[in-house]
Amino acid sequence: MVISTESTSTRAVVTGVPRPPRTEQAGRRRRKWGAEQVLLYALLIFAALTALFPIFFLLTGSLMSLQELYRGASLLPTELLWGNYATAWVEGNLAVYLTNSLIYTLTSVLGILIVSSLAGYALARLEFWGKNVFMFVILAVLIIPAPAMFIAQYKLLIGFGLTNSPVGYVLVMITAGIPVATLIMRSFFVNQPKDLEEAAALDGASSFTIFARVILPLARPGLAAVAVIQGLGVWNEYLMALVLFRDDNLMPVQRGLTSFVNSETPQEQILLAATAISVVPVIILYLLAQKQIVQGLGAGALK
Amino acid sequence: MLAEQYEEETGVVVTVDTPGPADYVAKLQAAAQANDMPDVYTAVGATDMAPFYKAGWALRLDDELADGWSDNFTPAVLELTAFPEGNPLEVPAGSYAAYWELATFGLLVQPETAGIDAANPPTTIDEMIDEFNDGTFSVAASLTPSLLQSYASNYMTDEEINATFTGDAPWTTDAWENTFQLLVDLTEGGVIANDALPGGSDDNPTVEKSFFNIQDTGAIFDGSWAVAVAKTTAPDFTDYVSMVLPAASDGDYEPRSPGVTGRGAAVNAKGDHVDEALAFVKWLTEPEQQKVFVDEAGMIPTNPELLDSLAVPDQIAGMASAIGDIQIVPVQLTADVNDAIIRGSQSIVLGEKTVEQVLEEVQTAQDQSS
Amino acid sequence: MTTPTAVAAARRQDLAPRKRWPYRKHAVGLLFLLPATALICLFTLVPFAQAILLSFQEWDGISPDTPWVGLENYERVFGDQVFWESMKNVLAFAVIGFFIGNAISLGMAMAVHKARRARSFFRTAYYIPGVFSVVVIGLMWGWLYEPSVGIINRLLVSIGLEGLQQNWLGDPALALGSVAVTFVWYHWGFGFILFLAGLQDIPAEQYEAASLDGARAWAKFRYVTWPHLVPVTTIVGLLSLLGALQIFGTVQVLTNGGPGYHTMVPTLVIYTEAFTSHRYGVAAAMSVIFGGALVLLALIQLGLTQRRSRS
Repeated sequence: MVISTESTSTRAVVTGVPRPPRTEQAGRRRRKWGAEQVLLYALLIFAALTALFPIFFLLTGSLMSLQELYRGASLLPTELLWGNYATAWVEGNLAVYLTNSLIYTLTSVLGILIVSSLAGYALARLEFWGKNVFMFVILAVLIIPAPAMFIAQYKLLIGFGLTNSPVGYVLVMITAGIPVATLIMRSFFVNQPKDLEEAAALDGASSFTIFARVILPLARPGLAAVAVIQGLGVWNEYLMALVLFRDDNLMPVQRGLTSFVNSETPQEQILLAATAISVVPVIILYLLAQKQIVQGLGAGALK
Repeated sequence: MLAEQYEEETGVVVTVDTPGPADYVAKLQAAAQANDMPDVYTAVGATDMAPFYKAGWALRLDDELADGWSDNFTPAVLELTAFPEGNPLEVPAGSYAAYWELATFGLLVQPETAGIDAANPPTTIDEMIDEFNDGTFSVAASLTPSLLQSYASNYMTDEEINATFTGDAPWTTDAWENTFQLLVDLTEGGVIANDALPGGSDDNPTVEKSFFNIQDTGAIFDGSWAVAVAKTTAPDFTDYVSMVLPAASDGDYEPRSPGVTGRGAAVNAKGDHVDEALAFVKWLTEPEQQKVFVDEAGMIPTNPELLDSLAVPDQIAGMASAIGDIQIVPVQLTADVNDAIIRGSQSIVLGEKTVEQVLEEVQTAQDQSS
Repeated sequence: MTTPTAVAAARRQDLAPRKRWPYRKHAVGLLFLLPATALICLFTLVPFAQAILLSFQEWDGISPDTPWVGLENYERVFGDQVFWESMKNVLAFAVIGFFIGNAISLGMAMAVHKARRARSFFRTAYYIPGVFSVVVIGLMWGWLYEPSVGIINRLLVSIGLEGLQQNWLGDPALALGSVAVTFVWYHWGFGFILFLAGLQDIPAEQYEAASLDGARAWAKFRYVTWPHLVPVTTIVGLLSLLGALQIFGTVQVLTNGGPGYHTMVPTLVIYTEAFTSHRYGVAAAMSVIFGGALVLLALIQLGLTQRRSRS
């Protein structure tokens, strides 16, 4: 059983080569600047307001005193308490946790990229026994609910002596990312033109050489897309980290946030400040990769 | 902080690991799986701790208690924390944890908002419902089992309540019907805020927020720990009183608040430092150390001396007075029964189910729990 | 361009084996898949097999012995009304998450695609909700939905619509819808980005051609946009359907399945069964049944989209 991903179009767009400017289209649009565009922008701005609301909530709330935040009477802080951020940074041990999260996210994403691009390429281009079986397994794995495996995964890591170790954690994170990443990479490769590979193959290059020297350099946009989608998942993971790491100094950033979730001595304003700090790397990553992603997916992934 | 002091006094180094409270049990479970339990660990509710005790992760403290340690605890606490023979959690009989915090339940009332006269508070539930303003009372769904256990003491002895919790007596009795009728009376009296009981993982903080911070709710049912919460979130709001839940008009007994143990500790029986760990836990329960918890966190202590001399803040006086006559029901509800009561209570308040239906469901949950 | 030199280098390396081993291409393919296969077997399939085994056993999560109980756990699950009620609820979440969520994702992607200015601003803005942890989402939406001082109700009062004030999470008729709104709001950005990428890949000439043929907006959507988006729709549809069926955090923080069982979902039942009631065997049996149902649904969904894309 296979996802239908074969492109129906025969067009070959090589990624990285700029597309011809869409002058006709732009021209047509210019003619229509009017009620339609006003309505369009009203919709876009309304949606942006609802989507950006948490940023507003987070920034204002993180500068309030706890009493003010709890009273919830006003949306804006009467006095800006920047000290909340210092408290969050120090008490949340964010210097340590953020470093850990960066390391785990970068290594996991790198691992996911390597494993899933290899698998995706094989599924897209090579012919071999058991290909369909593997495709089915990928889909089935995607579907198994996470709580079903959680305990058993944990027991297994104990068996390998990989608890309290970044290696065990990163391996689990990589595995969790493989199915989606492989599907995306496969679709990406299916839509890549075959010319360069065929030329290399005629020259007698082995599949691995073709992959490493020809395919990967061209796959950068697809890899960027996978990196952003998977990076967010690793960055926000907490449950596995919680049970795996006994040493608090190995915990990821979500651990720093939960230290402010406590019903007996509530510190919601600090939680908000810590959250604001912790999402900065994710947003930066997204901004950096945004162009690549849209280009990458647009260039054929998911087709 | 106490750990540092202990190190100075005895030279034993204590390393403290503090996962967030929400994750504590999961973390501890992971440690047990990995055969890497700490020497001393915080004991929370009996239901969560039972599997650890069953698997031999906790030292049985009975001999030590008999050997003079019990003087540090008020007798009610010892009765509450000992697992009796044949308990439904299947823990071998005995005491496995030492607690330094006790909590009781009652009402927190802002007299003006609620519409009652603080000098002359209602003595029965019917009076209370009559006097309360409409929509002024709230209780978190997760605290309904405590509310109902409180009220059940109007109709049953501690032994009878205990027998229901162990599964030896049925839930489908007149006494329990009378108890659950409280929810119907509150609903029909129109006193429940927003005509529903708040739910969600943060339901009690939400209720406390509406009382202490937003101050639009006149009365809430809560545990005595709430006063400590208010100290951090609303230090300026002191214009409230606490009181025990008024009696049922048709009750057979004097109502009594359930007593629950708060924070405590268990000693890892398989650890490398059993003796040192035990000494540390003993030290923590001594009056001087318990005093620190009282002063810092506003807890009600378990030490009898401290309890006698306790200078409680005015707001908590009403609830603290309940300590003299708390329910001795050592068995806790199983997780299923607890859940069935929480959800059943919500349904009764919403008018979706009758008391009889809910009690049937609770009974089913009890039968399932084994 | 580095490619030509790369190819040259490759040629030099690989001239030797003229006569190839007949099974070589199979071996190469399998080698490419080896890392993925190894990891998936080790960390997914083995644990899942263990979970299936566990569903025939009894275990409290801590005790060293796990006695064999046969089909007892399954019998229990089949008699468990809460579990089956939660299956019904999650179907509602799936329908809302799938149709409404994807309609919003697609609609907004088309809107941004049409926009001339500030595209990258909107692209970023719509992605923002997804970066926050569910705890913060719960805090914020709890505050919005709060019945007496919550923003939504206060807003309704300020525009003179007091009559529309509701107890959004406490009223059984509204609770599921309210949670679903939060869920869709939290997750629509993911589908949005993929749809937008798909739209940007549709050649402008095809719209031009359609315009020359006198096609109106709907016809252009139906005959140009939609067919091009079918592959994206397949993956986004599958992922969003699975995401909605496995909804967990949003429900837990907002209602914990209440009031009563009106917003209870299977993942939350499984979680409670394991981590609160300490019945891992029963939880495993529920996972197996739930997982089986998911596989079935995913197959149906894939089958439908495949047939549609063929026709």
